[in-house]
Amino acid sequence: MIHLGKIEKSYPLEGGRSWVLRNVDLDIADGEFVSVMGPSGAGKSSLLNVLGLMDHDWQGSYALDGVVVDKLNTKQRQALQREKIGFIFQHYHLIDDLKVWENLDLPLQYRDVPAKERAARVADLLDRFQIVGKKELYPSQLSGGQQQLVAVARAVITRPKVLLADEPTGALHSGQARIIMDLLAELHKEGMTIVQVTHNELYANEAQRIIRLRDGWIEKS
Amino acid sequence: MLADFRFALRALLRSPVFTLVSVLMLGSGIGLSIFMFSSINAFVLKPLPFPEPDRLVHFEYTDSHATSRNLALPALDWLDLRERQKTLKSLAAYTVGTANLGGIDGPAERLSGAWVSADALSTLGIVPILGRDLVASDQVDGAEPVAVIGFSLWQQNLNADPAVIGRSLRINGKLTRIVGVMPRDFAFPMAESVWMPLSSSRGSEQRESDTLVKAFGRLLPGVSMAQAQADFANLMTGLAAERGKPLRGDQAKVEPFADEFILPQILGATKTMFIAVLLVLLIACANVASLVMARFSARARELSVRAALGASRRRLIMQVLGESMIIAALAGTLGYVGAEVAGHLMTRTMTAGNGFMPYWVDYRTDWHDLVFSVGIALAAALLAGLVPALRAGRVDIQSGLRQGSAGSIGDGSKLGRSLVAAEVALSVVLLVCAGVAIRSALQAQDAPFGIETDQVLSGRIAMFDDDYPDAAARLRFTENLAPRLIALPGVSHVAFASTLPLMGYERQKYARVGDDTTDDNDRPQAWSSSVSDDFFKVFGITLREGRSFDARDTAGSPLVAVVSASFAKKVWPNSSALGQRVQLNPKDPESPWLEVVGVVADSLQADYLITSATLPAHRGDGNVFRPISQNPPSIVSFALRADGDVAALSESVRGAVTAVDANLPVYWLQGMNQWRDKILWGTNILANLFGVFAVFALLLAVAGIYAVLAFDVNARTREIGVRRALGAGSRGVLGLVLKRGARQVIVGLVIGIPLALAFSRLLGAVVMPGASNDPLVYVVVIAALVVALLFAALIPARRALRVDPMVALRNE
Repeated sequence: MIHLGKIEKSYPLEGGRSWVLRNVDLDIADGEFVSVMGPSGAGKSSLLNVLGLMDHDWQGSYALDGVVVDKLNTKQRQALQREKIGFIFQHYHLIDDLKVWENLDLPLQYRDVPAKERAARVADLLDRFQIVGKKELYPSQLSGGQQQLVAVARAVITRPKVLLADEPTGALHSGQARIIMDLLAELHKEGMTIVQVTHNELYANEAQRIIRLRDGWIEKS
Repeated sequence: MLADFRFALRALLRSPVFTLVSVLMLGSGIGLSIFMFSSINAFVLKPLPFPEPDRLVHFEYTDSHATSRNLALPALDWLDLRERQKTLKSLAAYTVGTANLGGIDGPAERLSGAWVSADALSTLGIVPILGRDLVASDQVDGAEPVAVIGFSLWQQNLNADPAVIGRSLRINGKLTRIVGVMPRDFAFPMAESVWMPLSSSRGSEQRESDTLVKAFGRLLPGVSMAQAQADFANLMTGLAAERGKPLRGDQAKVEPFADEFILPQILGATKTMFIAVLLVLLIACANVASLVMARFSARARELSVRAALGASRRRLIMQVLGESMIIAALAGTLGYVGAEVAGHLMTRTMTAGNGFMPYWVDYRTDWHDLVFSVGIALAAALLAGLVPALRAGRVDIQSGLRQGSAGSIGDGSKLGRSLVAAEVALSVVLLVCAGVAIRSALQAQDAPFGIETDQVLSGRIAMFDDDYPDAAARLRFTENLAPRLIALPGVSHVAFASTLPLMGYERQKYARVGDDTTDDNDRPQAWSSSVSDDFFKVFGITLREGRSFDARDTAGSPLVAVVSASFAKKVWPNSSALGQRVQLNPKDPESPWLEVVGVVADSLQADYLITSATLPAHRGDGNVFRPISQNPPSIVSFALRADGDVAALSESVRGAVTAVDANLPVYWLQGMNQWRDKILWGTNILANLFGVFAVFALLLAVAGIYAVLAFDVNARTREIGVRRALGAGSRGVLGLVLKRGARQVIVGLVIGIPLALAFSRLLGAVVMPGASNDPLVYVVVIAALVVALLFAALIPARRALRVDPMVALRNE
């Protein structure tokens, strides 16, 4: 599903460069669940941004589901992102002004999904995530765990092939975190490729594989 | 797209203060722009209420000696030119005047009437709704007096009598038969309500100087205005050669019909003010843009999330632009409604007040205004929203999503600061113009009128030949009226005059003994009026030398004059004016020589403020007064000085006049202070309007500076905390805040002052020729902006001073 070849990313600095990712080679198979770990500043989030096509300023080669990303222009990358990628953020990043169901509806709107189908998919996910009763609430009226639940639902509503989760449990207490991890496990079981960045060894171990980063390099196991 | 608007609307509803402030700011700018545009629309764009209005032209003389913009034609010239011209369907003519209406139940009433040629109404293309138009035979001397009456006269005074045709009215003492009723709203040429035939008889030679008419016509197919003008110029040359003497004017002027009625000063002022309000709108747009920028900078995280969820650049742009468009739509609606209300008020002021505008000028909004309003609102939306929207389209997703990041949509604060500097620059332009306008108005207020207007009530009465056939009859009337007026409670002095100060003395050429000028064009001018004995007492005009008029001055006694001090000084600089002789209207060989018996203090003529600035030749050399007993006018003004509220005497005054002659209506009955206000009206309204624009501009600038400083302080909370922790005192923190604002003000001043110099010069050239670039105005403007800066910095500075280093650093 994902093939990274010699990915390098750096920022120019006075008298040299500051390296963020160094010579990263990585293959993630279709349906694989991978955890990315490492200390602060190791390059975890940068790697996720490259994988999620939010960062285009890198060298190397990247193929996503058979599509060679480094040959694409910005528009094509955005289209590919819309088609293949779902995001979960540590701080949920729900839109405060939108109700729960509208937050779920938003990615579908951006993909020009017809209204009828959107309504069906939103209803389906609300049901599946057991948040039907919360659909008319605004994010500020939900607990952290509930907000992350909505964020996961929003990430998968477009049926992405790859789900990228940046410390999805980082802001949650253990009870809420458990629910989210169970949900990720379920999605994985259904065949979704998942890459999660986490500091939590326990949750990292729930993935099939752990990739450890240090100073931009992947540590050899 | 619809969803974007829906979300934008909801986002606005959730920020009611931002929405309200933005709508009010933009609404005021849009409203002012629509209002000024509808004025221009009313003057220039709306078609005249006549068929094929583009083919209607006005014809006048002009004088290359530039003593006047336009000159009316002597009736004899009109008659000659009418027969010879070949470019117009016909050359119609009119003159306006007083029509004293009697013969209907109730008191006599003074109407404004027009004496028109038989082809005038048909040339306009308007036909009576009842009865017939005037015909050529009505114009012949000795024909039965007839009139076509206006719709409202028919409705209100004649109870809409369907059998009104054939009924008779007493107009100016003559029994006049009604032959037609004009359609509703017709009031040609300005605000007239009855139309009578203009005599087409060549009559006596005297006629030339008696009747002046205004001429107009409809261009023949294929004839241009320039061709018509050339034709009339040739005809004038021929006519002058034929008569062996120059005509009243030496050049022909054919102009679009409406141009005769809309004063160029008013049009110029309107256009200048339109530019001024566009500046206000620009400032408002800059302000809203800077608010939108600040708002979306704070919402960068949201935009980043949307981008991460797959929102295209176009959708992000629409998200921001949608809010600006909704704000502009609300502001446009508010502005349109405001402009509509102001338009109604303006129509009322203009028509009821000063009679500056012809009846067809209508400030009410029409489709032109609607299109302009939509256009200006759209432009405002783009001006205010496009830059923030484009920046939103380039949102940096990674930085926006970073934990704890305030996010950014480009360097919004830098752009915001530039916008505020631009606002300050535009405010400087408006403040300077307001300053110049207000200075002019104050100067005008302080102008030495030379008369005391408090406690003086004035009015006018028109006497016509049928009832007052000669000077003796007219004099008898004033002699009968005077004791009745003086007997009214509180009245101390009563005066009669052909014209009163501020209403317009008559401008006349004059000659003194020994002048060698023979060309009338080269003769100097003076302002003259025939006045009764107590005239100088009523107006507090002091006697400087000799005597005032008294019982010695009768119709049969030697003809005398009293002149003003400036006239005496100008005409007889090296000797006393007493005993000197002066002749008014020397062109007329029968005009008598007058002996100067007194010199009084100067008093200004009516349109001094307009004409002194625009046409220096109008100023005249001072005043020449004649005793009313030796030159009684047929239309006489009166003035009485009284204690207490002079307006309360109005009914008693009418009663006194009715007691002498029940058929004579009193008109223009008002305090002299009202005349004074009327003269100052134009200058005052300009100063007031510019004042309003400038206050708006200043408020908007304060809001802009405040927004930038507040945003700045917010963004620099940590920095301020660190500085505090490092030992910065209150003065240091205040300096930090003020320095940011001061930079905008300084940049704004540097850009704004040269712009203001140029714009105020334009203002001076177009509307206020007397206005000058006074350094004091600039000093006041700079002071005002410094105060505005301090005021705008007040809240952000307080907030900055309250930053607790511990809290600020912990937040980080």
